[in-house]
Amino acid sequence: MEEFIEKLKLIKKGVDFENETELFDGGFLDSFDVIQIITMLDEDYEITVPPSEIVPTNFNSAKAMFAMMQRLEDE
Amino acid sequence: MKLKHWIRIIIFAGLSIGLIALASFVMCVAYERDTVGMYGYYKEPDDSISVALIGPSTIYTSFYSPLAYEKYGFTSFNLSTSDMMGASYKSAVQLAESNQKPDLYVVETWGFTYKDQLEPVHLRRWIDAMKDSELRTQTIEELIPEEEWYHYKHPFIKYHSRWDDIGGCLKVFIDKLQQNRKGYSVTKNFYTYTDVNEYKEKKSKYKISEEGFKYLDIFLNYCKENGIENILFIRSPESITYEMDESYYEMLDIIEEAGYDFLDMQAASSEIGMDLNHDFYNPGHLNIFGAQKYTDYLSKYIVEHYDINTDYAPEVVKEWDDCASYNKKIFERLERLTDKKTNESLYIQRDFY
Amino acid sequence: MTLTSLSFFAFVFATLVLYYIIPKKFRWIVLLAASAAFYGIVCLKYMPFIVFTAISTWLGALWLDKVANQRKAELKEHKADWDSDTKKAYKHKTLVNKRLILALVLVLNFGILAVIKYFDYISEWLSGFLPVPAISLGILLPLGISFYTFQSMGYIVDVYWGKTAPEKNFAKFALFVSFFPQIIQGPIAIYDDLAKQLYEGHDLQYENIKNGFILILWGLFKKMVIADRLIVILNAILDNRPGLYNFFGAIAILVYAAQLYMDFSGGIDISRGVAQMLGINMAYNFKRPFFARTVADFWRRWHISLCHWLRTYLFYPIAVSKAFLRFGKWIGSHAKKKDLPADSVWGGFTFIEHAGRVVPGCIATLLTFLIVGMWHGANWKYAGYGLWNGIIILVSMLLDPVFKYVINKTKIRTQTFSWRLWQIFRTFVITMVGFAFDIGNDMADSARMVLDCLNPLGRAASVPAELNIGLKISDYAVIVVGLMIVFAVSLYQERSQKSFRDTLGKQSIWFQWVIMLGLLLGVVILGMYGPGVAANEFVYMNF
Repeated sequence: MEEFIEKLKLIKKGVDFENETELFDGGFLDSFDVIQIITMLDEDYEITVPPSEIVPTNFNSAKAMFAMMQRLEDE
Repeated sequence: MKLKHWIRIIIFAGLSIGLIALASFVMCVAYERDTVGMYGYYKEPDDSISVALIGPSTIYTSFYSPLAYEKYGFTSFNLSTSDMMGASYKSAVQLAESNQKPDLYVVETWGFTYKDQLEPVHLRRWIDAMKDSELRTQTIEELIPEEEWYHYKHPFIKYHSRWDDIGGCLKVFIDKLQQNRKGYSVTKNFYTYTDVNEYKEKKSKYKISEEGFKYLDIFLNYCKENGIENILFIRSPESITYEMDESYYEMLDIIEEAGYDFLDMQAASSEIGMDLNHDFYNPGHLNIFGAQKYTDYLSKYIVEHYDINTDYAPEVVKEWDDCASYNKKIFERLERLTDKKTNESLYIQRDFY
Repeated sequence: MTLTSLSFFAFVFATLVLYYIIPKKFRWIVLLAASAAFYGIVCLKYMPFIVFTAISTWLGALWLDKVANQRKAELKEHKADWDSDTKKAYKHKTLVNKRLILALVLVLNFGILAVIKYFDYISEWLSGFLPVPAISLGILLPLGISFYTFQSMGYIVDVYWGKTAPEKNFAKFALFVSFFPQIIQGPIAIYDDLAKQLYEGHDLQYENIKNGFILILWGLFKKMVIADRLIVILNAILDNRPGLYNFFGAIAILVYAAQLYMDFSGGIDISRGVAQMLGINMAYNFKRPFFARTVADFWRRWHISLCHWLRTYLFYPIAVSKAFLRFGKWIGSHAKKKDLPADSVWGGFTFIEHAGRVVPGCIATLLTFLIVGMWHGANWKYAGYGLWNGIIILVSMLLDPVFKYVINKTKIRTQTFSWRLWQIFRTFVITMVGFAFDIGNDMADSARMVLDCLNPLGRAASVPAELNIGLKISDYAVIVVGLMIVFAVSLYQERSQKSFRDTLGKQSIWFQWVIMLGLLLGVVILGMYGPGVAANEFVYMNF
């Protein structure tokens, strides 16, 4: 999980990924950042995020993203 | 939903309807003078009006009913709105027949000269002065094209936009309240303007329009079919020199054929005592001086030529005695203002006394 | 029967009464009957179109579901005896099948939309330089076709993705497609958000009736009191072009923006208010758009449902598609690896690295906004409108790190009121330029209108002598006061992030009644209706 957060920090600097729970709804991340994260998931974790998963709830916190990753890995 | 919620909804609905009805009552005013004037008609008790006068502004500026009552003992009312055209006359008779059945109708011929007998702005003034009733609906359906009915039958649709002239509307509203409080109109749809016109020769043509003939026929047929015995057509005096078109004489023939009477008050000007330099407030209309002479002459003519029943119920006598009691005060005041040429339009009850 | 007509209110009232009288289980049928009746009354001739969309989408979704279930069943059954290659081939085959079904439904329905909307214009345009005659189909747009098509296509994509279970009951699905409060001009709903609310019967609740009613009044106020007055000014200016650009061009754009917002959001409010009275919460379509600080932010506040749809079904699928991800990677692969601090010009990356990260998204953005533009109508100027917005966002994304760098170096404080005001102002100006495309006759005309604004006093000789356009001083006063009221309410909502109606609901009932009666009388007395006032259709009615 920490490794994941470190990677997130590389994508967008200056965002409190450890604690923030309104990353998308609060405007800390925008659509372009989301694309970057998905790119990162594809490159570094070989996880393909289908478009149906691209919803605010999945990207509002690092924890939510991580849970989504695990869910997608299992499928 | 709890009971208290239903109660709230009902109260709100009631308030809404009430406020909109109030707004409608205040704002549905086509023309203030006409609304106020005709409002008084509906206050008169049934079967109390002996003479109904029908026509445009030459009627309501010239004939003062309480004066006729004071001097000659008969009651009357001006069924008259601004620029009232011949097409409206039939509904005026229908209105009077519905609850008054007067002994005599006096009808101003000028109404038949208008080229467009259904001109909306002027027609509307008469129609909107009528109270909401079956007669009004019938008149609308006869005279107005169907696609316009909706805003005649529901005047608020048009008059809601009068909100920016709320001063005028309130003036009317207050006068209606005063008439309500008193129980009747004192001035019986009279209007005057406090000015004296300097006579200058002005020429014009007096012509009965084609449409005018059409509605004259309709009017006469209606009256004959419904047994209206006495109609006195008149031509009011004016300071304009008219060239009489032959259509005018045609009209006189038609009236005679129908068995009704005609009085040329313009021809009788000198007999009436018309002073062209003093009795008019503009070339076409009499001021208070002219109106007194006109009323006196016409009333005398009426009682001499027609059998008017002056046997009135006590409350009617009481009402008219009261109205007549204001005459002296009113005339004194109006004459003073007119001589001073204060240029005021007077039609609200308060204006007079 | 427009949203501001008495017959519509009578219709809504009858629907409400029926809805709450019928037992809860069958209330959705009342909605379906009402929607069918509404569509039939307004647009009977073109009803086959919406029926076709409903049937094709419903069937397509069931078919997709069948294929998906079959796939699961087969894979489960052959879990042991198929090797991974066979499994992969089978998965691929079923995927192709699913794609074909989806494509069929999409092409059919979007095809109909495209043909009806664009055929005449393209035919005329082509005939301008090709030896082909201009053909006109002479079909008017079926009511709500842009909205219900998008809404239904969103549904079938959701089914394709396995996000939504298909609706097996055709009647229920038809209700989703045709729900009358939103058929005229949206909002475009997501199936998962709306369907359940439609199908489950709602209890009669005082808060819903009251707040729904207030919202309807508010919408009527914006539309009938403000928008319908503004349009008189707008038409007066536009009817006199081209002599009236420069100063009047700027006025026209501003008036247009205000009129469009009042008209569109007013209509949406009426729709949402009606739905709320039925216990249904429809999506927002506007969130105080003129407070936006960036153009991207503007599009999260304006016509929200359309943008949400495009983001979900167009932007993301393109931007995270394999092709685009590869493209981005390819760009980035040309970058030299450098270790840069976070506050360097490109935000800690080299330019090429940065480009690789944002270019795919930029292209997807451009494409998305091109569609937004063209959705508005058949004319190249609308494409221009879309591209203008797309390019602004694209450029801002590309240069975003540079802006941050400059702000950092010049030590501008960005948390201040003055900076926020600047952001709102510049977004406002950019948006206004975009709106010019809506009211220009075509691209060239719109461009001229905008450029002329830079020269406001030019061609002063073209000021019309006749300034009487049918509005009295009192009407202008109403516009100003009305706009101020809307602004005040919006400001409250923006700053407090609270619902105005909720706050109002907490006050004493007398105060609430004063406000409500004030709104009601405002609409009834100040509304632009009656003889001599042409009933103004809603701007988005013909989409």
